Amino acid sequence: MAKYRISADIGGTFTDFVIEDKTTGDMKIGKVPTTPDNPARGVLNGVKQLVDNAKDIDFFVHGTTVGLNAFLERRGARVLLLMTSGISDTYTIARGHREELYKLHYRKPDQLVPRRDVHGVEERLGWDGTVVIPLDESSLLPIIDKVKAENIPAVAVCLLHAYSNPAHEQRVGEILAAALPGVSISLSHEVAPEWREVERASSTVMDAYVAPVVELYLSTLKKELVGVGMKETVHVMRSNGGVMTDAHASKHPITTLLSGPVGGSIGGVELSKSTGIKNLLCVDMGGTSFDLSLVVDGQAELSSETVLQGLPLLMSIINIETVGAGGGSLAWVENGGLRVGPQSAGSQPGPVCYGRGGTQPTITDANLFLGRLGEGSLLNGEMSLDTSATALAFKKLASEIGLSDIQLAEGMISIGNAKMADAMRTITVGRGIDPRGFTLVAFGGAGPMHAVELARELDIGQIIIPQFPGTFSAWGMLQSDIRHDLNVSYYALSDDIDHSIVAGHFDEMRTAGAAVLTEENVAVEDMSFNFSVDLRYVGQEYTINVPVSEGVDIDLAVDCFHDLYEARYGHALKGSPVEFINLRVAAIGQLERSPSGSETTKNTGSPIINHRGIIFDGETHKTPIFKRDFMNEGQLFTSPAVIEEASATTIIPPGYGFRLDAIGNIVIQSEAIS
Amino acid sequence: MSNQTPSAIDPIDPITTEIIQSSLTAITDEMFATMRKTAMSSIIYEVLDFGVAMMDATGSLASSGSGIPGFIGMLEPGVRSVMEKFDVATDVFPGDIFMTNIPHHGGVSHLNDVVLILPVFADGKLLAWLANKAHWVDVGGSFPGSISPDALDIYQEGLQLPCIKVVDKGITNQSVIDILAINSRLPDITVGDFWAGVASMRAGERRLLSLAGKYGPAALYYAIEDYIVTGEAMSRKALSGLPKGTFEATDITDEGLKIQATIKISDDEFLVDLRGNPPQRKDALNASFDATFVDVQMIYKAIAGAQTFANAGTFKPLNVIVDDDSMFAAKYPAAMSVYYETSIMLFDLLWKALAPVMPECLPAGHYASICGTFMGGPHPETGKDHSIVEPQIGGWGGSIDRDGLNALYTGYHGDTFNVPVEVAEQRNGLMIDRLCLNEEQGGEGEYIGGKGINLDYRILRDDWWITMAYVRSKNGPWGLNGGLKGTTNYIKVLRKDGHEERFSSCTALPLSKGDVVQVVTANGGGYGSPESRPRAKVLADIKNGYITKKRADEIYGFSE
Repeated sequence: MAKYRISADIGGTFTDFVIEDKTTGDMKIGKVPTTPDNPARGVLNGVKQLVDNAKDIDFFVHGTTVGLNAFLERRGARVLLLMTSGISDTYTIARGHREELYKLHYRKPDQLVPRRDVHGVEERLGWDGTVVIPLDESSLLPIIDKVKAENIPAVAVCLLHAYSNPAHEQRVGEILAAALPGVSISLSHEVAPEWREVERASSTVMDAYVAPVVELYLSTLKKELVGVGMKETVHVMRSNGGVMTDAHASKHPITTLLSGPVGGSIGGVELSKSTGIKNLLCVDMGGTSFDLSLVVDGQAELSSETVLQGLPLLMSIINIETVGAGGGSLAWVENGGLRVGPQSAGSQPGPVCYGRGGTQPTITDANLFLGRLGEGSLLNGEMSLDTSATALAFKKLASEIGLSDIQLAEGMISIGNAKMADAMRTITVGRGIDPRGFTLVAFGGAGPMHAVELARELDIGQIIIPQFPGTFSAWGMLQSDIRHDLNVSYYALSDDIDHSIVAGHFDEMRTAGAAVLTEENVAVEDMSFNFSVDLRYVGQEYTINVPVSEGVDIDLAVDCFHDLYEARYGHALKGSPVEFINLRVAAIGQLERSPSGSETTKNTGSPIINHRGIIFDGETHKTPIFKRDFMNEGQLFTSPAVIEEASATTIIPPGYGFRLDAIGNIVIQSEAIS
Repeated sequence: MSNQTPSAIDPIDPITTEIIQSSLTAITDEMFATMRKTAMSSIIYEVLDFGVAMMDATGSLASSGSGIPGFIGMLEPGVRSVMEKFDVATDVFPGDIFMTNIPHHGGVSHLNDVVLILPVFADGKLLAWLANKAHWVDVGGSFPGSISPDALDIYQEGLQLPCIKVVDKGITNQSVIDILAINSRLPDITVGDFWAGVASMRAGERRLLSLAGKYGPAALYYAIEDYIVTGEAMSRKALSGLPKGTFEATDITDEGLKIQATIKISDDEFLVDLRGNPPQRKDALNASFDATFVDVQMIYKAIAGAQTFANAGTFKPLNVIVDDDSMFAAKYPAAMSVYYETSIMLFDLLWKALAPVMPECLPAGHYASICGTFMGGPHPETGKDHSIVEPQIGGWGGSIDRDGLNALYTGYHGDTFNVPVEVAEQRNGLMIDRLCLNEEQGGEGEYIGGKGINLDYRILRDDWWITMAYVRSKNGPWGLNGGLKGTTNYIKVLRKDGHEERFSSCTALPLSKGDVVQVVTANGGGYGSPESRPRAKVLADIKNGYITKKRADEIYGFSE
């Protein structure tokens, strides 16, 4: 019987794995180098290494950054955009705003499609979906010729009012699909069925832009996994924190855009549940990037739209900030000053100490050089580190800028930490949130090494290093459910509502949601549906989402709206007309969870395996090296200390107490505060 | 009990200071978001024609919300007018809300922009003032929308609110609300937007009080004053880096009047001398002194630390000299409903004076008109009176290192958004036949001017009207350093019978079903000599439809 649930988090440097045996609850982790030219190869390497027989894999989920990276590096497909004739410039025009208020020498965000690749289609709908000008199918002919002649791999279609009536868009989609086999076609009513033509066009273009890359990646990965005997379905994390099948992801590539980092946020939510700590600042430091997210009151922060490099996207997404800082961040010299990152050594060549040909020192090298990282502490010693090459690299760069090698290494770490602390400030202090009320949760291969110093920068007194921190994001992915959000625009005054129409819409969405879940192999008893409506006062633009039961009681929904409005804004306009705008259904497919793992065995010996001289604030401290596996729940220790484990190393500078809690987290507490 | 601010303020630790100061921005941002989410008219929630700010207990600007930079300095005079009329020690209480809109006396702009002011008290002492100012779609008067270039005095422009207390210790004066409603052609929206403003300030008050509860009022006093002091220090540092000297510009208005500005930048002052400009006008294109001062604040901010925050400290080095009877400092009861066109003319003039010496901050001239377009009539679906207030986007000038931007709001606006076609059609009972870039030729240079727009509104019911007044309708935006000038702003009305009329200004012009209003906004000025534009870029311009082959041949000598 297939017994493993397995997740893979493909980072810039390593691909992390968590494998759960659902029969026993036992958990195993693994890490292999990422293979950027074809990330599927790295995944396959890991699966081969960690599982004897791929037939034993019941469920495979992974987070991918291939779409995001293609966008960030502007390596996506050339896209042709079709919009309704007469308003096709609206994409190029965008919304006329200038983000930097006072700046007159402003730069508009670079769009993905230049004006010469935007074409008009002869057709026109009214706002209520009525046909004003029928679709002139012949207006597509020159467009089809251009796509063929210039070998354009992707077409995005965004026709006016398609959210209200998709008929013209669907027809255009059919004609293009028939005439242009192999070309990715993205239709706006499928990507983002919401009004506002600029945002919808921008989202559709993004979908088309990453489509060929994401499709190729998923089909390659699937072929190879099936080749070694795995089941037909591969699961992918989506930007809203839910899980979807590869088939769904290929149809909606935009939903994978922030697939990579969401695992950490979901893991944070689970950690909040298990520890009872409501507010967490989650930081994930890997080799290439530093990702931050907040868990506030036990919940991840979700948005229904976002902006990436100035381009608006209508999609449901967990708020995650990313900065270019990680263990692989390279040190370099500019005008005689020391800089660190954002360029990363990645996995090839990687840091100098990996001995794969890197010569420029990275943050990881600095940690090794200062004794924070032990020679044999990476992957439980399976990966040996080249200390002499590292020392040589430091000597060389230090002489270039006239510092001692120790000063250089310490300086690099300070610069890296300052950059990460700035990002932490931006998402807390910058929004008027006091970080001192938060617990810092640090994970990723390099997170635990910097966590305590980062917490100190923000005056955060408590830090948690979860179990298996190096693969925490991958673990988070196994804690997720399948989720699909459906909505339909329904525009009516609350007094005029036809209850049977509303009930009909809900019923249709429920059926559609159940169908998607069935396609994704969710059993009927594991399905659940949440119903809600968006309401506002007549004349307003913004709505409040009101949860309702499936049978929707209109008066109750309106009363509830007045109450929510009053709670949020301090007054309610009771008696003013209220209008319905959207009906929403969240279709959730509960995934199987493994039972919690077998009890950890009590260790009787000392958890301290060694001592090392480590430099903190310019002074060498004789520091005990702990083995995390040998620590027992409840024992209290004081720093300085280093805690080693397979996936990460935790550094605790002087001034802290720490212990293992009942569920295996390392809890670190500042002595100044506790 | 005294309401006065404590005189001695004890310093607090730097991290708490930083958190409070960041919270000030977060508070005004939340006020801004609340206004947007509760407002009843698209001029507020979409075009963001409103501003929010926090002033310290003495009435000095501490923090302003995002949105329109033209609103940064607009709320201080309102708070000052309250402090002049009401004694803070005896007449101002928790739960009070004040209201003013007279531009000559604290209202700054025009009667449509109604200012609401709420004092915040902590431990019985005045801690700060919160204020909100939004464009209300109709405040009565002789013209629909309360705006007309043809207004002769303020009495024709609508209901005046001479700094009154509308909410007294939490009790709303319903008589005032009734007067507001009966005087407006759109009473529901007017009352709704009043409550949105109240909600916005109360959201700020809640946040400010929770901050005071957490850190204590003394810490807040300290952090706010420190923020203003920091603002001044940063401003003076930026001033020291500006080119010193006297810089001048002149321009000719569409009526043929000469306007002029002299800017003197020294080590400790940024002085704008506006003496010798045309006198107060008989029409509505007058600006108050306070509005003129905002222009000076904005141009200063654009060249001295555009990326940082702004508060009262930032503007300490500024000074303005202006004649007593100037169109830039008009006296009561001068009409001011179209003040914004006068203000942007002046803003553009100050920009023009400094651009040659600071081209790294200031591009060539942009379309330089708010292009406020006011339309209304019975909604085709419901027959109910409906109105639209829309500024338009236009072309920006080329700059020292890149082409001008297409279709952006003016420098007077900021992070504000146009109304999407789909939203406009659903809500406003109009059809948008066309929204595309203006393909008129002009604004060429080494770096070309950006394109304005063509926006065609099709009228769907009889008995509609339009009011508008666009400046820069005779002379296009100025080129810089050899760049060519751009095109002009205007509208055309295409009558159903094929007849066509062109306007740069009109009041309540009747429109009928089937008529089309075509808005045309200017293409920006070019930067640098056209001869320096590389051939490859000219070719790309042709492919992108930015220039015709004929014009490319004329200007660049380009042939295939």
